[in-house]
Amino acid sequence: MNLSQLKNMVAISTVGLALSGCATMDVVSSIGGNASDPTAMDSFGLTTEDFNYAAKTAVDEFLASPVSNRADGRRWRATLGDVVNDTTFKIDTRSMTSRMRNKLINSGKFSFSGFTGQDRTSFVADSRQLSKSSLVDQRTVAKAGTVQAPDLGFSGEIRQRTNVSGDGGRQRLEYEFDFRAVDANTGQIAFSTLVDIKKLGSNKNFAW
Amino acid sequence: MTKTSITCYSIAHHRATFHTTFLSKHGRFIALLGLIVLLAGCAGTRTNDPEAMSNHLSTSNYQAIAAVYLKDGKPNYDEDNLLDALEAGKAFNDAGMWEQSKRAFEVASKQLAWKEDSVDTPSEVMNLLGTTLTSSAFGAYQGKIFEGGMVDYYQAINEIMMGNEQNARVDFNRFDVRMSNAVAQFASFREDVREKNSAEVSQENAQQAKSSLDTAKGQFIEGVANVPSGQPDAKIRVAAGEFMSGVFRATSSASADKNASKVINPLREAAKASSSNAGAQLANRTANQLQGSGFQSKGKVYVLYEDGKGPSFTEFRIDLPLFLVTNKVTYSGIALPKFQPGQPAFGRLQFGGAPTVEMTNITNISGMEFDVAYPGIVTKAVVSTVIKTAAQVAANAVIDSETKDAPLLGALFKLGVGAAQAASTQADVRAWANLPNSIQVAVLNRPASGQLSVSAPNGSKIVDVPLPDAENVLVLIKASGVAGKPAIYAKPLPTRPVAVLNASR
Repeated sequence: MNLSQLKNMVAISTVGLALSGCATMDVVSSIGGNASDPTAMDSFGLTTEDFNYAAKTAVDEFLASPVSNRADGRRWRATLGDVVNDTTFKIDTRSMTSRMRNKLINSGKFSFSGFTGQDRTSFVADSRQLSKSSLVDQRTVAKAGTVQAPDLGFSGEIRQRTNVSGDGGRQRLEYEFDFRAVDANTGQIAFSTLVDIKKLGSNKNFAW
Repeated sequence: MTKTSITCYSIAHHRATFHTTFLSKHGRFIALLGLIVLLAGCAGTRTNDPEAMSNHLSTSNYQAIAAVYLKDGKPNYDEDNLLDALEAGKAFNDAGMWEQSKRAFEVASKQLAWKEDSVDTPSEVMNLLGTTLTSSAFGAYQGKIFEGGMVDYYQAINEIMMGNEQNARVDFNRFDVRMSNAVAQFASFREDVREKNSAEVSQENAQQAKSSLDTAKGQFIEGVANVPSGQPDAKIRVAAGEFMSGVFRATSSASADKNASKVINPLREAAKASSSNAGAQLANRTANQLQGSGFQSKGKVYVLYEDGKGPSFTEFRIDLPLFLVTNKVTYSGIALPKFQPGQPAFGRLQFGGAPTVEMTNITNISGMEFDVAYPGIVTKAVVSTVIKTAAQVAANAVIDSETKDAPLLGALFKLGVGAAQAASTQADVRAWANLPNSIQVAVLNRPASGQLSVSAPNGSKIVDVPLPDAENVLVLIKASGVAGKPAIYAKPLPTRPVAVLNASR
């Protein structure tokens, strides 16, 4: 091998190295992109668009259900329970449950507990502690025994399945958003829904 | 802080040492020499000297090891070097610095060539044409199939220890996906090495390479002389992680976890992949018990014990000119890695009459992967030496023509070219240095005393561990050697500190 041959080999190697990282494939989502948002993009992970879609679909179904209207005409007193993230993505499930809670409250048919569940806060109990303070007008202190117990509990799971095409080139991620509402008085599941989102893309890169 | 790094050569460095006039006259030679040296590339920085780390491991002094990766209390390691990130992640995990460990393993995970969800052999692992000129010791560390599983496993443990059940579930899911692909990845890797070998020896200089391979076959075998043999492909899975995946689901706070596919299947897979019969029996027994209790665990202590130091590599050289024997070269040799099995510490631990049982043997798993890769490593080393020796002949011819009037200077240059080849002929002996030799497991009923008595195999007590009051408890024990006290961490299971549906007061 002479110097010229060696140089040629190095040049070929360099081109080969440069080309090796070029094979990619865009991710396609079953719910499509968001044309009104120029920053939106489809990825294997769960995005704001996915959470919005899942939350809206689930809430719309619930509001269309006769269960959402109580026979006594008052609002459901709901509590937001756990949503188990059973995917391979580290996501904050509150990004979605907060959207669901907001839509449900805005429907006028639900109120949510700030004493139990995900939205619990020490404020309710701390307010009662003000009865010990001589600085506070005791007529304005929240009384013991006035906190309302929830009668509907929301919970759910986000599951994921990964399928790889026969040639190993593509993978499809299937997400299931499984939500349910349990009636505290009857112990029965009053409502449940399953929302699917599917994503297709290259199997050559990390899905997560 | 001790820092060892493999020097990155550059043409610029060499240029600074030569006079401009000389460069002009001997430009072709300098360019050639610089080209060879440049091709050596850069392997990055290794923060912890493996020898110093080994000394600390002998006394299980994990705090001292972790301290090397800290500066002013903040993580300080080469984030661009996979091996450094892996060792930092493990060092922090051993020292109970879960958040820092998580961060380091995240960094490592991004660089690991083997992906969780793909069975393809990464092109980086097979090494592209350009790298054939040099030893992989000079390229970036690409990681191993089993190391990907170890990263996901340690990440899940980190999340459990930090009390983050949601993230632990995600990491176990990633681990499960990786394990479901590991056997296929391993088989695919074996096939790819075979194909790459055929392609390598059919290239230019094929005849010399083939002759060398045939001639030195008996000497090459030394590299895999200590590799445990007879391991079926299923053993490439990290059984300890699969065991913990099932246990995590059985002990979690989520009712969604309580089903056979989440609890029993990982335990059955652990039984298949276990490195010992006792480990397989324990995994099956645990699965049967959980099957009968609605996939829920109560009143159990799960012990994960990391024993000993993991496997390593040494270099051996075949310095005889194997081929192209000519007086026009001053050096022609080959360097290969030799697999060195890991070393146990206590071997096992006792809790009353109950011993730990081996679930994962890192020496076996690492050896399996090395055994598959080794033919490719040998072929690459031989082909590389053929090419470099040919280059040396070409370089020496240039020197002869350029130094006709100064034969002594020419001889010196030739020695330099030979030395450059010798320097670039190195075996890749890098290995994740702070892995244990084995991961062992014990499943115990919670002692009424609330204390877990830990003893050596000879019955001598090592320590009493106070257990937190919880439905179940996870106890991590790490002993890399017998000279110091093991590191011990206990965590309640389920790991989430406050149930979401509990009232705030």
